[in-house]
Amino acid sequence: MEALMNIDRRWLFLVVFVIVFGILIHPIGLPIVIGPDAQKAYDYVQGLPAGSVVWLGIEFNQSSKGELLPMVLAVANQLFKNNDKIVVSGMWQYGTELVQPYIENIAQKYGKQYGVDWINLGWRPGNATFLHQATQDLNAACAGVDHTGQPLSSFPIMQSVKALTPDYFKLAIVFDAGTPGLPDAYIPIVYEPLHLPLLDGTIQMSVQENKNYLQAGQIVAMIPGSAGAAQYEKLVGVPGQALASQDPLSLGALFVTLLVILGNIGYFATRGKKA
Amino acid sequence: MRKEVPMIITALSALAAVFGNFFWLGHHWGVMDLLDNWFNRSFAFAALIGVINLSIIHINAIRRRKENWVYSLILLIAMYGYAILGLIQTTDGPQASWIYNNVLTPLDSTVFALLAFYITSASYRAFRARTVEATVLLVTAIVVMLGVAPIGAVLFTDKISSLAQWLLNYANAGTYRAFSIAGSLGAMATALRITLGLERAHLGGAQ
Amino acid sequence: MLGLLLAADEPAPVLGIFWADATVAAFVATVLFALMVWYLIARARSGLKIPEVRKLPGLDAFDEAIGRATEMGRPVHYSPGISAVSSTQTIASFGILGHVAKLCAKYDTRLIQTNADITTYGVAEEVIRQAYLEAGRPDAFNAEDVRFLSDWQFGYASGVLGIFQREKPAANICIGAFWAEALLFMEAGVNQGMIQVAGTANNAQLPFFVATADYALIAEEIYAASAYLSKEPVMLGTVVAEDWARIIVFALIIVGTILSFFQQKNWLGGILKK
Repeated sequence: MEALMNIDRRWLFLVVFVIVFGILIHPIGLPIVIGPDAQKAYDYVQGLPAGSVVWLGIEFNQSSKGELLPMVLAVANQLFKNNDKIVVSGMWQYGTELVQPYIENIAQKYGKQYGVDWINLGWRPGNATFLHQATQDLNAACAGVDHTGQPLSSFPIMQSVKALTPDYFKLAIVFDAGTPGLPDAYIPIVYEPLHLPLLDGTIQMSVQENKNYLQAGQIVAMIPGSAGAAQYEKLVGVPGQALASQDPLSLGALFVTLLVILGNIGYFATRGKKA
Repeated sequence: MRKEVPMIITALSALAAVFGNFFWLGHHWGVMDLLDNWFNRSFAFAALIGVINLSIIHINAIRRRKENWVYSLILLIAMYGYAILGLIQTTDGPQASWIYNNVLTPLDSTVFALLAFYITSASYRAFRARTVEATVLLVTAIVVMLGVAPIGAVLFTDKISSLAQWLLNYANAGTYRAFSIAGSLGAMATALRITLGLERAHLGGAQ
Repeated sequence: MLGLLLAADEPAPVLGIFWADATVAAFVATVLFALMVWYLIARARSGLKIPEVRKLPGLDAFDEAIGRATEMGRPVHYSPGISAVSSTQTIASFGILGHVAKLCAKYDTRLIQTNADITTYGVAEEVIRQAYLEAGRPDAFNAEDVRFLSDWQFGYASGVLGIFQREKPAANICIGAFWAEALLFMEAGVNQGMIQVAGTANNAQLPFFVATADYALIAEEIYAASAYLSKEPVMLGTVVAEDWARIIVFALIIVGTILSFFQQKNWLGGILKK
């Protein structure tokens, strides 16, 4: 019984690896129940008038790609499907470059043209300073060029978008994995003074913190973690990486539960003996 | 003077930040942008110090043929090689992008993925029903873990998801806010101590 | 005068001087808090009694951790988190680093201090050098043991894990702003049998620290720690002000809850129906 309390961690690691790898190859296809948060986020985006300009803040890099990229892609699909326009930018280095090829593919799928229906302003240094400048003058904040160095004046979309304010944008969707992100930049710089509606897609680790802003009404909705991303993919009808990751997530949770139960059986059995 | 000058600069910067953050005029004059720009510029300059420190440590390791000195060599080649490549073709260049996408990204994801293994072993070790409080924690953790994953609904109906949501939205959110408020007050007290020159540890030496 | 400065697309000042609604409440709260701190500092300076600050159990753990490392003849590892020197958590961490460095100098135990931010690196070196000097052991200070590893989050994490493997510290102290690397460090420390003291005000990481560390400093305890370690009444006064502010916030929450309850439509009807 004591052995149940002291299973060698290497066995645990091996089982986790086998579960994740095995299920990714042979998915079970567990049913996905749509949660209230993802539904609210989806409904809000659906409710935007056609042709709305939406800011996609890519505030993550490759380490959170697994959780946040599927959200970005599902949201981009939904926006292009609804004929909304997208402006991509971000404060995390490499974030905007990471999403660029994926959004390009989705735009092609819906026949959307770069510079007309969407644009990637690229990563800009300066964190909060950049975001603050963007709320005043997008052209100046981006030094007048997009992510490839093309002048912004050459893109029709930029004729009608001058600053990150409610005058030009209907919504800012922030995909954030930490700092700089929603609590420290978007809420004090974009929401509080300007009241531009914010929607947050975040990693599971930050869900609890960012939920405070949802309950306080500072963000309109949130897509919570990888489970939220999977629900969003289902809602938009574009099954992708997030839906595929739900089976390993489920089995992983089940395995941890089993381990905790085993550990406690061992604990109680040996405690009885000692007494 | 060694400590007084930085303390004066700190106090003035704090006052400027209050002026820039709260007051219309400070905002109009772009005081915070100015402070942020100064910080970013000094940060960029400080990067040089980091490169020098890394170089000294690893050149010494190679020179003295310390254990695992080969890794020091790899580090120096990677650091200076990527910097030179970036200077020649910018970080968006084809080779620099290739290295980023095919070397850095998988390495980064691999280290991040270690968390899945570590969470498993940490949960196994930590969740023991030693006391009543620990038992409550253990049961709550299992409910939330299964409740947010699709398998919870399959095994225990949708009720477990609702219970998990309730725990997250009320029990956990309340506790979380208590920590946030207490943490923020602590941060404010520390900021005031720094502004008033009471907290001087960061200037080197005792209080 | 403000009217002349006001650009066409800029929002008008709130109450004539503030730049947004949210900043009014924040400013009032800041001023009130500053006044409480000022009052308690003045009391402490004039020698009047200030309320006692409870002992933080995690703080004694530093002696125990460094003592263990000394007995085993192995180094101590210290991480101030991955935020820049501009973070209050990082500054709070430096107060503790000075204390830890002094203990290491006193016991002649090697201290390996790692940094994920260039700005913390220079400060940490100065803090440790000064601590060794004050402990009368300037010769024992080794600049090569203060290291900048990488400003890339997981680059830094793997650097620290490498140090754990190669240099086998007996104690691991992590105080400051941590994110996903928190569990990586702590779990690796557990696996190597290190004695670990950890603290952060990043709430999402607290459960990992509590589950894996031998002693955890929770949220505001890391801020109180440097004041507590200084033993100066003036510094402790600021901690008392923090508690007073907490009581005020608590009272405001109660008042707000009661008001929002009575503002609900037909609250009386709801009760009578029951």
